Amino acid sequence: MSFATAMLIAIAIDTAIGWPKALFLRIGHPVTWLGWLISSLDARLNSPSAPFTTRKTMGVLAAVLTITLAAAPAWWVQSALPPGWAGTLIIGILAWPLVAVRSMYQHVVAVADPLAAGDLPAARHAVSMIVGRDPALLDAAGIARAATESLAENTGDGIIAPLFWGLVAGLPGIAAYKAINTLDSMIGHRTQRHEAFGWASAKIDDLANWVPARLTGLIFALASAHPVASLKIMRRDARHHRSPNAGWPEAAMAGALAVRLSGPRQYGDHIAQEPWVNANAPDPTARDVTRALALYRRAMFGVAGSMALIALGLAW
Amino acid sequence: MVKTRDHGGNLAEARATYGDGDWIDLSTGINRRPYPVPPIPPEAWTALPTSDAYEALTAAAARTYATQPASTLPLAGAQAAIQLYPLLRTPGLARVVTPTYNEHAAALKSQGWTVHEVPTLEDLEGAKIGVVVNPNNPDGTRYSVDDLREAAKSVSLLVVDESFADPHPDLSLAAHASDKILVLRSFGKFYGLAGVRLGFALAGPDTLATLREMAGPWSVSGPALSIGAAALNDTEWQRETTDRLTNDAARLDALAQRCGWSLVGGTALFRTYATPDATQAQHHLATHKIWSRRFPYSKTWLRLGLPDGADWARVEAAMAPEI
Repeated sequence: MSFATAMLIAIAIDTAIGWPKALFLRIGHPVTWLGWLISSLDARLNSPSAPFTTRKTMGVLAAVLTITLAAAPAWWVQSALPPGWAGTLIIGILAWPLVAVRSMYQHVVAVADPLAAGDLPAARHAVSMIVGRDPALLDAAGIARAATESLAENTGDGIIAPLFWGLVAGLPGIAAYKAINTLDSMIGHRTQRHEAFGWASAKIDDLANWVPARLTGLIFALASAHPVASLKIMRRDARHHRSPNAGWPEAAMAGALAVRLSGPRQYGDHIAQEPWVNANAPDPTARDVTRALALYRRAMFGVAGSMALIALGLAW
Repeated sequence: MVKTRDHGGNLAEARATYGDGDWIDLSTGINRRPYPVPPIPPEAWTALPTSDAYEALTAAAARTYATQPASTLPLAGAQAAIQLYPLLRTPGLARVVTPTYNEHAAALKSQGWTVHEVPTLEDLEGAKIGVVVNPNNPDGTRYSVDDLREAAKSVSLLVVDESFADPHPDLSLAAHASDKILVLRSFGKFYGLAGVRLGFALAGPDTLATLREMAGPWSVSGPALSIGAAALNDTEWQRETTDRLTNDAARLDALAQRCGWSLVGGTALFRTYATPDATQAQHHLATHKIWSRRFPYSKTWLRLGLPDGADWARVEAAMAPEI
């Protein structure tokens, strides 16, 4: 049984067909099942009248339960599988919905194409599908920036991180990671209701993405035409980002494309004063989104190639 | 209306994307079962509003908000107060507890204020004007009267926007409104009559005199005075509506939980949920002709107003489990 081969199979199936809509309508998606589990735990364990420390403890419990309920069956399935090719193939098939290579690409292409053709309304609509910004307020540069940032950030937590944990621990690794990431997105926000209860989830997600985020930056840099510039910007600016992890892929992307990303962003009139990465470079244009997609393709080929090499090396 | 900033209620965009049809608009926090508008006397339309009509409305509002008529000023919507309060001090540093309704920062900036957005009430300290929405939109954060009064000591003027406080009277700072604490109330949301454009500023006498001067004469229309007075005097409708909205909020929470969304927070007028993917969730509801609200700063949050009557069957069908 080879985890690297299994991840390669997952990437191949997802790249070929994604997660078909018919399947989604029939059985949903593992993340929707996790959402159901987390919201049930939240409703039962997160009592607004409980003291802060109790809620924090309950949040640890909810996170541990969710991760266990995702990883334990995955571990059980994996240990019951036949060794060799058959087992590897089944892990690959089961890991397939947890890697979003195709949908990410399609979402950004849907922005890049109309943007390049000068069709701003269509580009606005497409970008509204990946970022929550009111698209009516975005000009061409704003659309290009949003799409590029989203591609960089989501490559880290939507693709490289699950593959990394799948490579390390197989099916339980990738299942645990998806549980952690869904926990963070559902309850990891610092609001009155989740400040205490979501504390553990947010921390665990930061930890689980620590290595993958840096690795994603490195992969973008190595796949780019300007690896040195990309690494330089990543080393210099990644830490200044609002998120401890998202800065790495974003800064590497900014360096590779010689554009500036992040920075002050206007959300409606909510202007968030955030530092730029690669501040002295120009804003991305429609052409840069296309270049970002080309970089993404090269990076994905590089990842698949590395998985193949690891698989061969281990088989050797 | 010229759309400059991101608000709910952009149903036209939904229609353009998903087609026409019988839409249920849950993208705002406006009560979908409005106060039944009483017959409006002809002179409300034909004559300039009288001071008697102003006084009747002010008295009704003061009673409902549990404050004094002398501390109550009717305006054309809470938004009118938001446009005016930046003029109450010379521009300097303002702090707004965010994320929240984005017109506060916009109004302050347009009058030359430096606006810092801060995450907590304590962070307002030292600002000339501090702004907080209670309960907050969209995350439902609630601040106690004591905490707010404490926060008011550390700023020159504390603005408390209580646009969603009608069903939560225990949160209101109305009784403590002063020349240092300006409370804003909205009429349109709870009473479901946002088109009437009515709201109130509650403050001390000096502040109210300044605001009154700035707003100019006849700042509220005759029909608005008439509808507002009737609605604000109808304590039975208010009580029934609060009960209904409270029950409906719990009903919507149960539906949301069934389809795997967790409650971020909310009020009895809207609920904000964390979904695994807000884009997907909004799209899914839109295919059922139900419009919701997403937020620029979150990939997962989705806000829904409360359905009413026949809306529920469709919302329940759309929010079936496993989607």
